[in-house]
Formats: sequence, C-alpha cells, structure tokens
Amino acid sequence: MTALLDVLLAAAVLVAAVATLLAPRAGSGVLLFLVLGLLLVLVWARLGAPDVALAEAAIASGATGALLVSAVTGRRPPAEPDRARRSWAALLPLGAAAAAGALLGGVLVRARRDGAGPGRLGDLAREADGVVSHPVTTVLLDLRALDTLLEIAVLTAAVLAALALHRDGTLAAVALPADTRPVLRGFVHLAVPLVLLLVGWFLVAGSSRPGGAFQAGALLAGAALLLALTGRRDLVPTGRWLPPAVVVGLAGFLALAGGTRLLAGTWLALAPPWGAAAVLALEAVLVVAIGAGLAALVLAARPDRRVAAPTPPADAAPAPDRQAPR
Amino acid sequence: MADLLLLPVLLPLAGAVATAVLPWRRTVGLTVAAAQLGFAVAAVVAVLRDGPLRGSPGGWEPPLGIALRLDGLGAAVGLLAAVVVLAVLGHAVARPAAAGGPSAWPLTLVTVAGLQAVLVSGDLFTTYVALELMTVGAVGLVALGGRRALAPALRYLCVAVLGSFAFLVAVALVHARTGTLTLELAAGALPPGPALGTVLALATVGLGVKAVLAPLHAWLPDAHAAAPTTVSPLLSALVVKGSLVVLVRLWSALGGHAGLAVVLAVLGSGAVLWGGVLALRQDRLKRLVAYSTVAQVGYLVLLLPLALPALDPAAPDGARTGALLAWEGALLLLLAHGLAKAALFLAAGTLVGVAGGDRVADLAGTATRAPMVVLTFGVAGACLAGLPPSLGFTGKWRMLEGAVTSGAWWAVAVLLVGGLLTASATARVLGVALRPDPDPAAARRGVPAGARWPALTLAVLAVGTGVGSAWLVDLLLVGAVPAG
Amino acid sequence: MLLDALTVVLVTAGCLFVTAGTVGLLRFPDLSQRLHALTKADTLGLGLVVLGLVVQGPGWAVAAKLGLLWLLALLASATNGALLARGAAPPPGTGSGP
Repeated sequence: MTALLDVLLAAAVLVAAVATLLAPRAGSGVLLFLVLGLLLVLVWARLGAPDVALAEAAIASGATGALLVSAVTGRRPPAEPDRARRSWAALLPLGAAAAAGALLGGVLVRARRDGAGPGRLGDLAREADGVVSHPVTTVLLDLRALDTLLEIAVLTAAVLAALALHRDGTLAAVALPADTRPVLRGFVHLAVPLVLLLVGWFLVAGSSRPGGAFQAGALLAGAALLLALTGRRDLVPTGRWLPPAVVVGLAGFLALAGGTRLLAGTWLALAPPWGAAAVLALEAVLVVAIGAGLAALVLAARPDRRVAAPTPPADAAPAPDRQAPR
Repeated sequence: MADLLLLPVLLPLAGAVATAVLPWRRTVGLTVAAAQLGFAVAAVVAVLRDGPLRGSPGGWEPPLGIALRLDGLGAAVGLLAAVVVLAVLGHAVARPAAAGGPSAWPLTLVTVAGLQAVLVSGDLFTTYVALELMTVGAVGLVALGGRRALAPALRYLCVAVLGSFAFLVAVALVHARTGTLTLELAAGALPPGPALGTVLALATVGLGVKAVLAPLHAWLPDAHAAAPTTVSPLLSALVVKGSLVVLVRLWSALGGHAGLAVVLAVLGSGAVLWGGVLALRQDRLKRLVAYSTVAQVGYLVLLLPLALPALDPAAPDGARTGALLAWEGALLLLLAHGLAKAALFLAAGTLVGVAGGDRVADLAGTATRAPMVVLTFGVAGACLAGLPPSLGFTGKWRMLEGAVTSGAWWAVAVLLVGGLLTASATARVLGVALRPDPDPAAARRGVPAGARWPALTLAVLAVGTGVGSAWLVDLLLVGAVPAG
Repeated sequence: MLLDALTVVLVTAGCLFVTAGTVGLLRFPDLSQRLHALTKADTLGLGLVVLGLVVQGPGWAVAAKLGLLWLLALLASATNGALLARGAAPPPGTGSGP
C-alpha cells in the first residue's frame, strides 16, 4: 500500500518538475517550483531523513522560492511568450536528464544487487563518539567540520557577490515594500514572535534531534523578510552592519578552527568537556549569519532606488578596460 | 603537518572576512597573497623531501573523517596559483580601475581559498564543496564587470552549477559502490565496468564544463570579454587549472576508461583545432585570448588518452614509457599555460585600456606607447606557441616525444598544427601593435609601473622556468599514480 | 479497534474536503470564488485530519502541537485569502471586477 503512495509521490515530483520547466510565464514557473519543493519535502520525509526535509522546506523551497518571487514580481511583463519555442528549448535538457536518470537508476540497482556497502559510513557515524548526540549534527560539525566550514564560505561568498551588485555593497538603497494593510500587519505581529521562538528551539534542539543551524537560520531569514514586507528593517540590517552580520558565521568558524589548533593541537578537533558548548556557540553564530545572508539575498533581488548619477564608482574612472560601445 | 595543508585554505578565508568589513583591503590582500607564496614554497620543499603530505582535520581518521593529501601536482599548481595571484593583486593595486571595485578583494581571496581546498583535498565530497567555492567566487568576480557582465556571469553560474551537480552524482555513485568518500580508499574498490564508466563520464562532463573542455566551452569567451582585467587571469590560472587537477587525479586513481579516452582524444583534438581557428577569426582582443585558452585546454585533455597505458599495470613497457613522458609533458604544459595566459590577459587588458577600444584593429601603434606591455604579450605568446627555451616548449617537446614513442601519430599532428595556429594568432596581434601610430600627436595616458612589471615577470617566468625544469618534473611525479 | 475506525473515517472525510477545495480551485471561474473554496474547505479538511490523528491517543503534548499546527494553518490561510482578495477586487464604485 505504501509502495503505491511512493510511486504516486515520485510521479507527482516528475510531473511538477516538467511543468515548472514548461510553464509559459515566469510567475507560473515560480509557483510550480514552490509546489515541487513541497513534494520534495514529502520525498525526504518518506526516505526517513527529517533533517534534510526540514532543510529542504526552509532553504531549498522556502528561501529560494522567496528569492525567485522577489526577482520575478515587479518586472514589466514580457511580450507574448513564444510558447512553441519555449517548449522545444526545454525538451533537450529534459531528454538529457531523463537519459542520465535512467543510466543512474540502472547503476544504482546493480550496486544494490551486488551488495556493495552503502550503509557503512552511516553506521560508523551513528556509532562514533562525538560531542553531541544527534548523528547528523555530529557529522556536520564534528566529523566533517571542514566541509561545513567551506559550505558556510560558499554562502558568504554568494551573499557578498550579490551585495557587490548594489551601491556601496550594502542594501541601504533597496526600496522595501511598505505594505501597511492591517491584515498583514496583524499576521506579522502574531507570526514573527512565534517564528523567533522556533528559531531558538531549532538551535538548541539541533544537538539531540532534527534541527540545527541551517534550518534555524532560514527561519530567522523568514522572520526578517516578514518584517521587511511591512517596511521594517528591525531584523535585517541593510546598511553598514550588513557585511559584518553576513561574515560573522565564517569568522566564528575560522576562530573555532584557529582556537582548536592553538589550544588543543589539532585543527577543528572537539573534545568532551567543552565540545558541546563550542558546537552550540558556533551554531548560534551561524544562525545569525545564515539568517542575515539569506534575507540579504532575497532583498538583493530588488533593484536600487533610482538616483540622478547613473553608474557606481567602479565604472566611474575613465574605464579604460571597458569595451567601447559600438 | 596538517598546518601546511590547512593554513593556505583558512588564511585566505580570514582575509576575505577582513577585506569584506575593514577598509584596509589592499594591505590585507597583498599580505595574504605574500603569505600564500611562502606557504606554497614551503609545501613544494616538503613534498620534494618527504613525499605527499597527509593530514585529517578534527582528529578523525578516514574513512569517517576527511582525508587531506597534497601530492606533487597539487604543490606545483599551488605554487603557480600563488605567483599568479600575487602578480594580479599587484596589478590591481597599481590600476584600481582594472580590478572591478572593492568587492573584488574578498571574492578573489575566496576563489584562492577554494583552489587551495581543491588541491589539498583527498576526499571526494570536500573536493565538490571546494569546487563550488571556487565557482561562486569566480562568478562573483565576473559579475563585477558591470551591466554587460551580468548575462555572461549568470550563464557561467548556471552551466557551472550543472557541472557541479554531475560531479556530485558521480561522487554519490562512488559512495554507493565503495562505501567510502576518500579517493585513495575508493581507488582500489571500484572494478572496471559500467559503474566505473558512468562515474568517469559524469565526472568528466562536470569537470569539463569548469575546465572549458569543448564543446562545453561556450560560456568562456563572453565571460572573459565582460570581466574586469584582473579577473581573467584568475579564471584561467585558478578555476580552469583546479578543475583539470581534479580530473587528472580522478582518472589516475580510478584507472581510466578506454572508450571514454577515445572520446576525449577526439574532443581534445577538436578543441585544439577549433579553438585555434576561432582565435584567428576574432576581432576582439580578449575573446581571441579566450579562444586560445580553449585550444590550450584541448592539449591538456589529450593527456588522459595518451597517458592511459601508464595507469594500466598490464601494459607493455614501451607504451608505459611513452605514456609517462606524455603525462609529464602535459602537466608541464599546464603550468606553462597558467603563467603565460595570466601574463597574456593582464597585457591584453592593459592594451585595451591604452588603445581605448577592444578590437584588435584599435591596437595599432601601441608598441610605441606601451612597449613593455607589447613585449609581455609577445613573450607570453611565444611560450604558449612552444618556442624554446620556454616551459611551454619543454612541455610540448615531452608530449611529442611521448606521442611518438607510443605511436600516437594523430597526437603529433594535432600538437604541431595547434602550435602553428597559436603562433599565428600571437603574430597577428603583434603585427597590428607594431604598426605606426595612426595619431601620434594625441595626448595619451601612460601605463603605471605597477601595471607593467607583474605581467612581464609572469611572462619571463613562463619562459625562464623551461631551463632547468628537472626539479619540476620530479615534483610533478611525487605521489602520482603513473610513477609507481 | 473502534478508535482506528474513527481515525479512518475522520481522515477520509478530511481528504474529501481537501479534494473538494481543490476541485473548487480548478473549476470556479473567479479569484474570489476560488479563495472561498480554498480557505474554507482546505482548513476544515486539515482540521478533520488532525482530529483523526489526535483520536489515536498519542499524548497531550503531541495533540497540543497538532492543534497548534491547525491554528497556524488557519491563521495563514485567512491572511492569504484576505490579502489576495483585497489585491484582486476593484476599489468600490468603479464597475465590473477582473
């Protein structure tokens, strides 16, 4: 019986993905992308990976969906889309993806049949004696901390790259939507404290059950964006304090690395008496950085307010290396 | 021991954090670059003396923890990257308009950290994350080129992310079949068969996109044309080389695949000829240099089919000798290309600034206005074309020797024709630059010294290291599979 | 046994209501009518599903959390419905709507 549900779910995911690619307008495509995200959350839940399901819901479909909506709305609608050409152009990657998927499926089935050890690393991680009890957090911050450090660096770099496209490298010039409808303000007054409570809970719970810094950070970004919808910049610094808020996560991680090297002799090695506290402190700093970073990414998709002088300082010099407009 | 492995990764990240929030960007950036050069030299000395450097952060041993491993190839490319980055940052300090703004500093340091992480990583998943770090930094840098750079940067991002995804799927497959993510441990455990073929095919496609292997190269010319001057050398010397290093390591650890090698031979030869011809037909300078990168990567990819017998313990000795020579030659060519292309891009950017336009025809008379820059262009072009005594010549000679010994006459033809095409492209640009100045009376801005010397130094290094390059060959063979 | 039957009945009824809401979304011609279908039928369906799960006897803490989930869904769908409807309807006194 559950096998039938699984097949239906898989088919629904494929249909949603194809529909997203073939959607005639960007807006419909974004909405279908949100639907796809929701279905993927169900898939992860069925695979028995609650941490990944939470991360998918919060980041991959939540924050990314908000970013896409922010980028797509407010544009002038394009001229009538050439529906036939768009369908053909999307069929080629679909075909390639289908072929790759079939090939992979075959190889994985063979691997399963040959009994090659897929679960070994997972079992080893569960038995490993880390400083926190939840195996996913142990893998993220204890066994493979260097990977997580590099991933935080990727997020920080992406946010810095997005900020570089705005004036002064901050979001002070971005026009926030100032929606003062009473229904929305009432909802925000009720929802934001609740979301902040959830952020705190996810942060602390990450040591012993599904949760952790990434999910909590995405929720914090959500709360910040809810406030930004009503025009308030309370939770997301948009001026001079934005770059520091974004890099504090990477800075904290680097400080942990340097600290463990100097005091314990090995890079990023966590030991029992202070290890759990170090993990919690690091996750708290990461929550701030991820929240500020994701919120900044969504807001960075909106254009700057228009001013009289056109171009930012980098181009203002005689720009000898720019190509001559021809 | 893990210090030399992790400091070159973590210090640039700390530098990126500092340059993002503090105002003393140039000081911090140059200090970090100088420190990176020190680390790279120390790493080269340590690798030559003790063999591959190993370590695991966190105190957890593989297979549970992350395995770090720096072999000779990694140390050599690390040294190359350190030299190029120092030269590029020196150029950026002297000509701020060439850099793309204050955000260029943190993004450059992030890309450097990404490359270093790629070089020291012995774990497949860490390699994936490090490749992503390099890509995100590079995309951000390209986008600094202004409004015109946004579309090429976005195209680069989409294509690079698809490539990373293909690589990630290959990593997942290796984990599914062998139960480990450490490359050394997975090396023996994956038997030849459809699984190995799929893994190598996916990884080659994914890495080929980042390494500009034709036909996946379409994003490069537009990205180079729109990027700021100091970004193009970083793209060719860091991002492309890093991806090629991963490709070479993966192939040599997993044992290669004969059918895929044939495909790569065809694609590589095609890239050499196609890139060379297109470079001759471009009338914009930076696109010309970009297409010549496509051609050079074609040479480097020929390494994989030519060196295949060296990875096979059952191959006859004659074939193995030839394959080993081709291996050494191609890797020497990789280093030569990194140095020379960086010099070429810096010189090209400066020439565009001096000439006031980026078409080749606009360069008329620049030889009298900026002689050192034109000299740099010529010297770097000579290295790329394989003229003695440059490192490019040493590498190409070795590859030719290897191809002749193995009887791969198609490779000999491709190498010779490719060299001819590169030489013609360089000669064409020099010919235009040496024409008399069409407007000698107009007031021109000079080129600051800080913008001339770094590029010339790189070009001279590219030519000079060809002499007495035996130490380089020894370095490249440390920890490499074909050597034993 | 009886509790299981009750759960099946309640969850099935909940699914029927959600399906009815989706049918309304697809078939109604107007934004306001679609909002009626979605906000009312879907929320009621979710409430029935939650009730069916609570009947299984998982304990007060879980039951409270499920109830909180339903209240939050109620809040969100009411807010979204009001915002979408306000955004779509013309200002009063200007004639026919979208």
